[in-house]
Amino acid sequence: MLADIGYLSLILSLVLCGYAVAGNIICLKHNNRRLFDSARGAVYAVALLSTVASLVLIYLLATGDFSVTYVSEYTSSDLPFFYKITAMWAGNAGSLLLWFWVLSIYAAVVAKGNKIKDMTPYVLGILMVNALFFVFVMAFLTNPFEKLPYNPGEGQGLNPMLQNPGMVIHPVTTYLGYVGFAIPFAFAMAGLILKRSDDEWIKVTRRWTIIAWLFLTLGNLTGAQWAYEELGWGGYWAWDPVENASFLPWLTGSAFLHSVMIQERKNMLKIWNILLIIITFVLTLFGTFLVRSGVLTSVHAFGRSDLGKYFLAFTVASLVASLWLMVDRLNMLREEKEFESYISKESSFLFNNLILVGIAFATFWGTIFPLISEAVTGNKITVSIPFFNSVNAPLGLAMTLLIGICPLIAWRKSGVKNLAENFLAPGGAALAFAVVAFALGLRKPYALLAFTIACFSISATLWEVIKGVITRKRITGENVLAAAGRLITRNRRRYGGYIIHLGLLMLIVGVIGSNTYDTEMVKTLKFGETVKVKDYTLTYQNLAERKQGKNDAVYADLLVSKGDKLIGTLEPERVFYPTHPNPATEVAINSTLKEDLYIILSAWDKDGSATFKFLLNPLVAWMWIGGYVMIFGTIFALWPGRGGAVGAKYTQRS
Amino acid sequence: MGKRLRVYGFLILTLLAVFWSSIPAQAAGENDPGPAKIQKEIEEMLVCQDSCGMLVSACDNSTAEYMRGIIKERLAKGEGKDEVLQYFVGIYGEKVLAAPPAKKFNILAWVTPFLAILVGGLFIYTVLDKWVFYNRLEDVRQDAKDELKEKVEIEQYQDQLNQELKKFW
Repeated sequence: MLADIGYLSLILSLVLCGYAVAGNIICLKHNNRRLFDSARGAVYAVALLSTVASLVLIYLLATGDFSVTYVSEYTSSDLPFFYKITAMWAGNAGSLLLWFWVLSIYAAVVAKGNKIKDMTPYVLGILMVNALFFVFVMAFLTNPFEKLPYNPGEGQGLNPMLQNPGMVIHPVTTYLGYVGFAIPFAFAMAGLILKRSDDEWIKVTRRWTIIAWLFLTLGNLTGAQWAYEELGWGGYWAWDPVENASFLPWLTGSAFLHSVMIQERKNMLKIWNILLIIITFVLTLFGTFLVRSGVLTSVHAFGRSDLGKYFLAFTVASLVASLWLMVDRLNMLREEKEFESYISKESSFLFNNLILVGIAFATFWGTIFPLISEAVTGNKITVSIPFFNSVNAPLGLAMTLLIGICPLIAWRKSGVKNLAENFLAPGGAALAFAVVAFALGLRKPYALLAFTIACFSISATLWEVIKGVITRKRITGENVLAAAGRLITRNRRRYGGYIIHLGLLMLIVGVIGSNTYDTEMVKTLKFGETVKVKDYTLTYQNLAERKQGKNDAVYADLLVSKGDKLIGTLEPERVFYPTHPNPATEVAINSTLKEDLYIILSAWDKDGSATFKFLLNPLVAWMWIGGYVMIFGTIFALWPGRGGAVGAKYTQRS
Repeated sequence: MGKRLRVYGFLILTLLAVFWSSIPAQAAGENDPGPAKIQKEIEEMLVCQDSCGMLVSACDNSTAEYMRGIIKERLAKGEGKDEVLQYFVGIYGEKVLAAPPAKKFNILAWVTPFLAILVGGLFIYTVLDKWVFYNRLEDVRQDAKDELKEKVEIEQYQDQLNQELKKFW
């Protein structure tokens, strides 16, 4: 009965989505206000119905109604309540419902806000076309409320890898980010349809864009943490096609967030901004295609299904339609064509966009190259971590350098004196860093270069803040703390950006450290035997088994000390699930700011000897700290109130 | 900004930089040298062949374990890195390699991203050049306009002055 209510909600949503699309188009044609209100009402109704459908599925999962196929496939009676709820996004149909739910609520918020009156009907029409596709897929191709002919009494259980708190936040935030980019896209398209070339759509959607970017950042960050802690291979980013799929819109979204500043300030890059938001939106659809098609091997995919062709068709249709619209309106997008100097903040933003889009292209190219190669040569090849690391590392370094350079260059024009004044301090600091680090033993050339560039960019960002504080102090006579506090809180947009940059630089430092100085050792130990992993001494003390609900866990105790300091007992384990053939690895991590000691229990023998994999991953903690600093910076910049306004417009002759 | 304050700022940054340098330097240290290092390098260049898509170094299933065993065995026999990799390519084909070798068609995988960025960079340079040129041209036009305006104003003033002088005389 409840499953029927859920399905009925989907069918009604389908009808209302169609009505909202048609209503919004017709009301514009006939300038019919009542019809617009009615179509807007349909958008609210879709949001309500999607909420009903989602709550029904959550209830079915929580109560373990195994007569519903989805519940039976992704839960079992012994699954903790928490994971029964999160099973909503463990499978294809449930995750599509989550997507549709988020999209319909976003659309309702846009309808309620009605920020740009003449655009709203178009925006809602575009969002409802998007929603229509998702609800169509659920209604006719992969129904989350499909019932089994009989109740099996027990479910197949949730994939052990998904039974981790990280899996609660990661998918939801990633979806909130993915779907969020549909809003600026819809506004951009509405602007094109209405032949409006102003930047009002950018101003109205700025918050939407940043919120989408924030969630995507959080999604990628929590995904990396989940991979690090749960997958048990010692890494956090495997350049898997599905990981790439969420990284790609993050990159182009970041480029978009920077390039819109030029349109806000100089009325330039209108075409480029439209193109960037189209690419970002289409890449979010491309991600759903990758996850659901099974065309590429991925640990994250939902498995091979027929849905891929529908998603591919929708992705291509969205791309072609939006590009056609953009090309058709090129005349309207004529813009100012003047830069005062080759060296200015504007031009540095162009290069920042080049690098961000360049990394996105390299990642996209590497992701799809196995398909291209097979189509052309007939041979299957793999493009994995070594390729992406080799190609993206130099580009990443260039981006790191630009993070430092951009804030030091003035808008409009930077003279030699200005450059020398701004670059001297961070450049000097970076040089001092390089000399001391080399003297202290940092000898790998690539690592030294990368750390020095990161140091330069951190110094440059701090220098920018220091300069601002000094200037404010001199003008207002406030003390340093008051000057710093007021400067930052009254220019939240600008300094929020700097906080994000600092967070990203910390994250980059973590990436450099963990990729250049990681140490690995595999060792089989007998009871009481001791092993040394650099400064750590580990003594194998015990191997035992315990029950975890219906699961069996085999764990080992290792007494860990560093020098004379006893750290404690670390307990890596392997968990055997009755519902799944392969055991899950639960690693033991001793994390410090300097390095992570990461232990995997690989195997054991009847005589009690056990094989361990020991990894020392330097500076990994900085990645997580940096990631959350980025999140804080974004929220700080977004916070409503004073200090969030865009800077002055620098148009011609102003 | 005062010179003294700038010096203080510079000193603070430099001290911070020196402090930071100790963090990665402490974390650095020689990685495991010798055969274990070569073993790890090879494992990181091969993909586990049970469709999991993970590197041999990262995967903990039986196929990866088997492949690690073969690498160890072949290295113990005195084979080099290339020979071990070739052995796996002979069995599984090129798909066993984690990155395509940079030859024949697959060279495109490596070259295209950099080529695209180069083309993008040249495009930006060209556009930037044009925009800066437009700006300078506009400056010249503006100067000419100002000059003309000034000239017209002087002529008008001269005319007015002449007329008033005529009236006076």
